[in-house]
Amino acid sequence: MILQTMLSGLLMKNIMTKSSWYIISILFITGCSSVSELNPEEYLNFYINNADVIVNKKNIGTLYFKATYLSPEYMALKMNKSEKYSDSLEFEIKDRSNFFYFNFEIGENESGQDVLNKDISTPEELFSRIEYLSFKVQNDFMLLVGNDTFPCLMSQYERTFGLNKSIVITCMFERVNPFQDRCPDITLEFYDNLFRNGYVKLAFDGDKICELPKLNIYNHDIE
Amino acid sequence: MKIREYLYISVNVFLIGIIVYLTLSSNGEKSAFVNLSMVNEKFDMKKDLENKYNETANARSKILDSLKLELILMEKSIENTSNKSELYKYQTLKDNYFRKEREFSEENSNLTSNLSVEMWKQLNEYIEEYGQKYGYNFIFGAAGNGSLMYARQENDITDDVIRFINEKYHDKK
Repeated sequence: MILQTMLSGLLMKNIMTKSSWYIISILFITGCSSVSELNPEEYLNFYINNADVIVNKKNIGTLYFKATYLSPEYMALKMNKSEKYSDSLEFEIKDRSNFFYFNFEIGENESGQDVLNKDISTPEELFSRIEYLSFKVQNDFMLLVGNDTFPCLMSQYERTFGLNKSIVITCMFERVNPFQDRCPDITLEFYDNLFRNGYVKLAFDGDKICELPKLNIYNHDIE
Repeated sequence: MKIREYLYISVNVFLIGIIVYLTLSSNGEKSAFVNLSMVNEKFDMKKDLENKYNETANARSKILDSLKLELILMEKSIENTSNKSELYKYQTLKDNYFRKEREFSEENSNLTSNLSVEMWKQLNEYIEEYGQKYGYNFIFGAAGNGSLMYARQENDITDDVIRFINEKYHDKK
């Protein structure tokens, strides 16, 4: 009788151990593979608060160079602030999924001075710098996705007339569709023609970009 | 009992020795040297900048080649002519060619010095980061010009520095 109880106890223990392993494995796999879904407000909050995933910064001398990855969902939300739950938003996300967007910022680390006026002595130099940033800067951007190199298709320099002390440029690159399946690392390359710092490379982990939460426009209460 | 005492004393002496050595070595200034020509040669940014220079220089050279070809063809066509307008055209083209050649030569030399400045800016930045990260007081650059006359081979950190600066340049995490 005692032997029988011990055997059944062992059997139960064995089953329990196995099943708990299964449960743990399932939890682990689902925990690793699932990408969470957020509603628009949560998505924007996540995007602002998780800077370490989407932002990379490098210091050279007194300057900093900072790149921020802007997901198609984030771009679409920012462009459609009034229409957070519409079909047009979904259409825009789909449309923007064909491109990579990056915000690129150059600023002064220590002095906090207006970087646009750094090392400038004449108004002509300032105008030529503005002209470069407005029309030519896109030629100095490249995006390395795995082994492929993509030129900047379009760039937009944010002119703030001194309100923002840093230089901010948004750049758009072609996004090859199988990106989401392979998740290769991404490197934003900029050739610094303004302050003569040469090539500035800012790398992003492809897996982390793929693991960013998805935007769920429909399955939640509309405000 | 005596053996035990000897053992006790020798262990104490050994431990004190280690403490003294560690104290002295931590107070002493940590320094090393790098072979500058090797660092310069193996820094990936240099290769990228050289490619950039070659692209620009080749584009300029193509412009000059087409101007030169035009000049040669025109030279042949005006060999037996006394047409002043044609001669004037030829002279203008010739002046233009030599002006462009001079301009490109100056611009290429400016570009070389600019690219060198760019490379050294980042190189200095990364070596400074390396020094701070590994607690060096000094990192000397052996350029073979007498700036560093002698250093023990064990203080050569060239390979480590090359690995570090290239990782930093490519921004590898």
